[in-house]
Amino acid sequence: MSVKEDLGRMAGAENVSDDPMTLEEYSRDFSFAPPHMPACVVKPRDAGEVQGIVKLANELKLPLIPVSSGAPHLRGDTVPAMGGVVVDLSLLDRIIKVDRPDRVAMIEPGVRYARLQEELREHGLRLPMPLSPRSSKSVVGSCLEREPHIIPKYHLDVSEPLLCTEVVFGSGDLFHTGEAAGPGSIEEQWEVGRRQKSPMGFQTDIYRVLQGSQGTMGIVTWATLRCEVLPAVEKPFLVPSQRIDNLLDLAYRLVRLRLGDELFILDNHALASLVGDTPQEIERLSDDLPRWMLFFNLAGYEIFPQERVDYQEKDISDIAKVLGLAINPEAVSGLGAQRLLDITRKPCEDPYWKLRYRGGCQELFFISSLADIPGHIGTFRECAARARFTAPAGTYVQPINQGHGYHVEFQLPYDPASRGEKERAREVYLSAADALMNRGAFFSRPYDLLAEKMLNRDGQSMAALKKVKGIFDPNHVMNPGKLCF
Amino acid sequence: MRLKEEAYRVLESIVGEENISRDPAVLDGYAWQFGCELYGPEDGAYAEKAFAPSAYLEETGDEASLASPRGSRFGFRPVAVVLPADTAEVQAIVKACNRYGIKFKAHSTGWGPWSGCGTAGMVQMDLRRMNRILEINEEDMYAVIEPYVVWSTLQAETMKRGLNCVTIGAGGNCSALASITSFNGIGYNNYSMGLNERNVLGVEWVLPDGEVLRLGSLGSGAGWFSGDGPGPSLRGVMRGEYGAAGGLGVFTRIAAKLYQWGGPTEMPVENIDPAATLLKEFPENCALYYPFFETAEDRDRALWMLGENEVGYSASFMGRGLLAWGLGGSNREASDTVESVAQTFPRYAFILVLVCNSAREFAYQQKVVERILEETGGQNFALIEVPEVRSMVALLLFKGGNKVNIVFQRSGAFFDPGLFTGSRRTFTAAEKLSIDVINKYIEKGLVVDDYGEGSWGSLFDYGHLTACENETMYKSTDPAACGAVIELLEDLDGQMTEHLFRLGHILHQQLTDGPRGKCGHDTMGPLCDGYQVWQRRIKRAFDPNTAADPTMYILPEET
Repeated sequence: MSVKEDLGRMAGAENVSDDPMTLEEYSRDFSFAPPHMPACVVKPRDAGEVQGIVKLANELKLPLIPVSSGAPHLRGDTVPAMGGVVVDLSLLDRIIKVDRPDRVAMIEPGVRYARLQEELREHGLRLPMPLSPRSSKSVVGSCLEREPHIIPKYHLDVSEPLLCTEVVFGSGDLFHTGEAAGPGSIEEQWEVGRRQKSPMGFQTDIYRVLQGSQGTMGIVTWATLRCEVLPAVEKPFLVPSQRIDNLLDLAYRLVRLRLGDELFILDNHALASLVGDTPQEIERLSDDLPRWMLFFNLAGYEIFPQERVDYQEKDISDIAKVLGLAINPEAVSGLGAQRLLDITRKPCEDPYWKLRYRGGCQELFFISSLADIPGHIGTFRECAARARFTAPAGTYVQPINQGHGYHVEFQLPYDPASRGEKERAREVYLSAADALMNRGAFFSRPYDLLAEKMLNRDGQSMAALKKVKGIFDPNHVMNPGKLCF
Repeated sequence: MRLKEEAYRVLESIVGEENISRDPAVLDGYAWQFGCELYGPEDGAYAEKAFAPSAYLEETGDEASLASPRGSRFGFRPVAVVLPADTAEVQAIVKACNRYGIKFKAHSTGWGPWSGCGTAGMVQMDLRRMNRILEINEEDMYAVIEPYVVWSTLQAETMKRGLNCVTIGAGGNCSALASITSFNGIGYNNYSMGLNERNVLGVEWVLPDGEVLRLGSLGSGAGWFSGDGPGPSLRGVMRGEYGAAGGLGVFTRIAAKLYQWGGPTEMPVENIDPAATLLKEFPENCALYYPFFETAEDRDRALWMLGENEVGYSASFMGRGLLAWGLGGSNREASDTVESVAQTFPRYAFILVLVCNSAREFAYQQKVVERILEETGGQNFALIEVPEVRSMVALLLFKGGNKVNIVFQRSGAFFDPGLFTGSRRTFTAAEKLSIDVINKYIEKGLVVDDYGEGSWGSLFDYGHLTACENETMYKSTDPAACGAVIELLEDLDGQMTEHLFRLGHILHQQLTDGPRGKCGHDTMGPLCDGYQVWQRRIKRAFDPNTAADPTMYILPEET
């Protein structure tokens, strides 16, 4: 019996494909990861089928590439490095439970942001979300990638908002992380009022090992997520500046004092890409917008919501004044604060905002200390200039972990049809990564070509990760060729 | 049991002769830990497995005296204690222990039976010389600390900079690093600053085989600001809700997360007696509330309304029994309080502290609190208006530690059988269950009568989670009382499990199963997806020689 037939027996023949056109879609993405064709694609319908597939892979020593989001992919983590079977989790798309009192949702990996946020809204809840994720982005996938969201005060840890998971390890064993492990089945736990809120195991936090693993440890079949109360009143603000240092100072103070909800900084290019619909509009906005913009949103909840917004606005005004900044609730250079809030409220409409300007984009992101951010930006610009990269590269700065670190992201737009543009983007990507690593940028989520660079700087972590890999995926069937595995 | 000369001299060469000892009196100082009296076998006999075999250990004929019978506070005496000065010395000690097949156990400030050696024949590593705050980074809000920095020192230094940390209930005299990496401890300020499990960034960690692992940004030389990656986070190996209690090596430096402190940089006090320490001045933009309610449901509703509206710096609760004992400066005073007025204390209450960063924020938060109390029928507990009580309680909660003498002064010993974590729906039910079970043992006269209400705890992260400990006091020198506490531990853990509540204290299971030669995880694991299989594999992968004391983590072989 062929692999395709085996998989068809487990997941239904209609959910297995080796059609060349289909395989081609999974063989490459917008990253610089070398393309590889998978042997076939399977779409399991439940955890039992996922487990069967992983067990089969162990028997046959067959690589599995888990994919939860839809195209376009940007980071190379879902490009098969060694062929094998793509496990597309898009059919596992149930919102299993939403619980208002415990502020939690349980969902499968095929659930996208738009549907989840709509469902949560009906319960008076919301899930803190990354900055305008693409419409096809899996919520669970984003959480497993440790993508930062845009409400720093709710980013309690870099693992947020992920709580418990159900996972099929690479070994083929099914496991529940955190309090979901027991006692009792999930249904029995619900009966006594438990909602799988605590992600912690007794003396291990296995969910942390799954995060950032790029599918190399196992396949998550559901996850619980920490949700927050939907605001009753909101008031967004823009703070323009020609310099980033004073905006960083303001962001630091606001996050430290827990003033405001959403908060991030974009340069004119990134902001133009986020709000502009066409390349022409993006270019115009890039020219019109101030060099840097800090966005923050004030929110009031159930009790005296307007009073909360009012006192925060006054306190922030006082702080901004000291820094020589003006907070603006209306519009800056024609861009309304409310419009930007609306954009951050839902996933991005197609095409994805990072692809709008040139059709392709390479992200370069890392975590930084506050003080090093301006220097990192300068280093990146030097590298871009050296490579004669002329397209406007965007910059996005996101306070994370309640102000204990900053996600810094550069966006390198390029035309995928232009070999020259793509090559120059690649050159900047690699040279800037080296230069940034040398000056203290920490690539905590290194994808494709950066993984080896980053892990080679830390031999002990690499050795420890290999031990962990040996525990959960002893036959190395899960996404081989990624990270250091 | 003695360490052979060759091995002893090697350890001595690492730390210097003034920093190593095998004097029995010194060693017994490490063996003496509160709670040890509980886990010795009733008859004082020890199984062979109580000793860690090594060719570099020799019997001296006094092995029987190492047995710690129930009722004795002496746990296992180490064969030597070494005091390293830095990471390099820790690493050298660990490598030597691996070479000689000797187990080791790190000890910082120590608190309870899990701090000492889990069997005889081990080297205890006392980290008290590593006591420096190496850096306080105000911009990225962390402090780089060594193992012997205690919460109160860290807090005093950080408050000067308008920052604070989550001092745990065990008190300001405990190691901050140990709580964050290796153990646990809940605190009143978990409400706004979370459990210390998540309050860590970079970590320097001497693994059980002697290799040094640096987590996150530290590993690639980028600094202390991140503890996760590259790739999967090895924090998941380092700890869970509890740390490995010494079972996965030695943590030598960490970056502990700090948070905004809106209160004064210093809080001058009068008196040093913990029962009478008073704030000289109540801080600006701060407030203390002690509301009580008709029903548990009203109390819970008020608590979660506060959380969802993100109001308050700490929100915690304390049972009537614990509160009554805490109010007395002496046993006599406390006894009088318990007998005369404790039962008039409100049953369903909580304590809320506001620490605001501006007058506007303070006015807003007060308005919200008043509305919530109005809606839920919360009434002010008059006791808190007594100036001395108000001042003492406020100071305690601002600092976030505890008046730890409460649990020792009555009978000399306490334990926390009723410890559980949960969420909104399980909180009250689990607390009630613990009270019912503890009262059975109070009725038998085997533990101190506190109505079974020795509970205290906190909400985490504005009510997303809760944790509660229900302390039980008992006479540590009475084997019958100790036996009753063990029985109570098993009884309550069994009932919690039967009711499918989440146990908060897996180490209880280790303590009750250990003397029977069984690993607690082999009892709990089958009820929880067989997690012990994975934990055991982690132990074997990272500690191939079982050099790090496995007794409070996991025994390498299934039991």
